[in-house]
Amino acid sequence: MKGLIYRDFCLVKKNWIPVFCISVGAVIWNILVQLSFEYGNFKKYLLDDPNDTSGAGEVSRVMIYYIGLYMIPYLALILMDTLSVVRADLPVKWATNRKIFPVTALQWTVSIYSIKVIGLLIAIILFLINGSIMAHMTGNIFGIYEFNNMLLFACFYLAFDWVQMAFMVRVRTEKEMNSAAASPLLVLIPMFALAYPKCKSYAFKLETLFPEDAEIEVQERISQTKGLLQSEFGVYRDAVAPYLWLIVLALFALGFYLTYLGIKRREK
Amino acid sequence: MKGLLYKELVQNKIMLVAVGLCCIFSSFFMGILPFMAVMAEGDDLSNDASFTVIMMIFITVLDYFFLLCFQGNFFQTDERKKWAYFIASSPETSVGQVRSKYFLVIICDMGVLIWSYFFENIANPIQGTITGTTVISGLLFFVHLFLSAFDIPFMIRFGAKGGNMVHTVMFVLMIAVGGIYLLFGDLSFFDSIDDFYDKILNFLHGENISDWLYFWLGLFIWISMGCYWLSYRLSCKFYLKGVEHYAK
Repeated sequence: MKGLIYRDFCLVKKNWIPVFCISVGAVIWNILVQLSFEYGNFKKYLLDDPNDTSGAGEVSRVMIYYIGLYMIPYLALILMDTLSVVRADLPVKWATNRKIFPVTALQWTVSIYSIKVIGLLIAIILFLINGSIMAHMTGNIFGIYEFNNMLLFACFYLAFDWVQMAFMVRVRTEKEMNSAAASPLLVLIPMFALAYPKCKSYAFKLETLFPEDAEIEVQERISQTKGLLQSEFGVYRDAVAPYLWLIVLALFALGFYLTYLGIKRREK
Repeated sequence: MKGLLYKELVQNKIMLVAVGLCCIFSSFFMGILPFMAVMAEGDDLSNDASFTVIMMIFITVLDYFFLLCFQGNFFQTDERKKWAYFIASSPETSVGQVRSKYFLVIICDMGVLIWSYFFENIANPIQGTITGTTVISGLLFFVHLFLSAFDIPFMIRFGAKGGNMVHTVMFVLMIAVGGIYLLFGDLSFFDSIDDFYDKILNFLHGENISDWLYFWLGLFIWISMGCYWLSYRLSCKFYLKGVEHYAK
């Protein structure tokens, strides 16, 4: 078992190193930007600008804070990608050669998914480090709400991942692999179709909220947009928030079961 | 030598055509079409020379950037162990092989220089100003030589893949240093951005230039050529060591 996990680590190493370096670089960059808001050019030109009366400096600081906070899940969750393991197995005919080793389909699936779980844990740790340092520097609150958002990102990722893993693990040739790589569209298209009317109504409401010739303060604009976002999308998010970790577990279990079935099928 | 150079030209035909097309299309799409659109509206741009100059400088930088991007492929085409040992045992030796590569880079560089001069003469009557960006192009010629002088020995020592890795790391480091300077450094020169434009225009038209600038530019040209020659000598030494890194 240990050997299998070690083997999988060797195969994903090539993908992991750049992603990990970029994620850590992003954390350092976020800290530098927040330091610049305290002591550097952002403070000099944005916060202490004498010509600025509308508070645009503060607004941009909030924007940059949120972009920096949620950049990390975007980048670091790529660590959960274990498709390179499956991909590397095709040319060496691992599916056939595995029969001479005492490795069952279940053991192999466990090794693949343990890599995924380790990737998720690293992403969460990076997110927590980044978030807590940035929140400490800006005085924002960093708690369970932000953590749930991180889990939401993981849910989105896993929602495509289980389809792709299930298809990828069944393929036998390079050609089939290319078509299997497009399988996330099976989830993406219905998801967009469901989200489209909601987004359209949101855009329509946003247009009616701010007519073109109305003069509204920047702060007022932001708070109203926030309220609209909460009433349109946040309600659903709040409803699922307590069960998010259960959803993550369920998606993991679903992916695990389908991958196991795929490997079983490839044995025949 | 002539034969090896001919071989390089034939072997890298597709890459050379690709660089040429990239340069031509980017120049026409950014340097001529917008101005023709403005002229079709009936406006006159000749009063607003700074925009035209900045645009032309951007195009020139882009042309050299394309060359720098495609340059790695010139070295990838010959990455065969059989070929490397064969050429090392021929009368040309590995020195001839490395020299042909260095000549190819200079020829491409000159091609871009000639193209930018040619393009300026096509574009200026349409734009309605004399931009004089050939000066910048001439400078960039030597900047490109200077950058290649650092780039090529790595490609020869560690193979094109390893060389590209060094490339990427250098690029990321440059961006990081630039970003940190933007966050914490002194940005007071942005306050007088109009003076900066004026300085560029003066430089391009050869007005009010201090003798020291001429001195440093002249020195830089000699330094870049020296670096290029040094890197050629180094590459000749590294060539057979780098062969061990080839995949085939």
